[in-house]
Amino acid sequence: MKEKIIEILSDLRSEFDFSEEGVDFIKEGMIDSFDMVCLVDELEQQFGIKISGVDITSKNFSTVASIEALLKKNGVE
Amino acid sequence: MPVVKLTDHIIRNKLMDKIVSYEQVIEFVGEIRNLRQGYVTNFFWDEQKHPYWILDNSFFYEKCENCYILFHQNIGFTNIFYISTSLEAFSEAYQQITINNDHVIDVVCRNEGKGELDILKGLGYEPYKCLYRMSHIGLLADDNWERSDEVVYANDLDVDMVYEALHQDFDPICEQLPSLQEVRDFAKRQQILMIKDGEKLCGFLIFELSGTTTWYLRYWYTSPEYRNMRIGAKLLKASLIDGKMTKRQQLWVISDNENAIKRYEHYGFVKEKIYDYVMIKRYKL
Repeated sequence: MKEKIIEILSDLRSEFDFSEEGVDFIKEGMIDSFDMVCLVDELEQQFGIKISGVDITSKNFSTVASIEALLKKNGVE
Repeated sequence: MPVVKLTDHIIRNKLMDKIVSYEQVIEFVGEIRNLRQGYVTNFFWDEQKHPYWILDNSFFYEKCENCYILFHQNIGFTNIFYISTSLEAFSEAYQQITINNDHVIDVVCRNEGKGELDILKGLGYEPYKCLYRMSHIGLLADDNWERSDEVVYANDLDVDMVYEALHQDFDPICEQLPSLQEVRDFAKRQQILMIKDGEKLCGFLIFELSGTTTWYLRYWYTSPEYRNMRIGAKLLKASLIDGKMTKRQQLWVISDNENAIKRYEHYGFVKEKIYDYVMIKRYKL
């Protein structure tokens, strides 16, 4: 799942290395809120899920680990 | 100096409440998405810009069926944003509201946005301008670049001068001009570079740095009497030196500003397929 998340992020912003651990993508300016809307759509399509609106916060999209946790919460194995 | 003044309508109309926090906007998004009927928006939270709208009490919302409409009061016009299950739901909700000045909607999309634009045209909007996003990927500033001695950071005493030039020479409808407090804060963060001739302003450039990765050009200005004297080039170079660690540099440019586009292309910027269509509905008595 981790690789798939990195692939989706890299498609969105190919110039950045999303595989680096512990980097906060939002604080570092690697993705902005426009990207975040695109990212939510892409995750929903690729993993066949619907992310609850209350979960669409910067915190849940700031690292690969936080996105992974969000997907697991939505039943993705 | 112009200041934002709320229209009588908004003061009178108790249905429109102030937006008081980022979290509140997130709640709107959550509520609409949880309806599971689709999701469209033209509002993308910008930490560098939107908190000021909340602070100066110029940001409002109205809750409608399947839709939230957000209003940002400007001098002489209102920016409209939607957080909605669909554009049709927004369209229905929009027809229930009245505001007594011009309305402006930005549609940001990765394509030509024909569907969105057609719906807005049906609501009485007409195209005003189109902006492209341009970007450069990779390090841009050359190690050999030297910053001109003429370039200085704007200080508190320069803020009024910069603010006045912005409001005299830029188009408020499509260039989302900053408030005086925003300009003050840009100066504090050393994000306004300027060149002066004695007390006269020759030019300035306002930029942002998002973390250590992205450099973002906000405003680039040369006074008419100082054009063709390489003022702009010196300012741009100095700001790129300040952002030399960034891996992405980006800006928005008005599509018919061919001179600016040529200059950006000269520095290696390329047009992205991301557009901002600015649509306007003129208020008629």
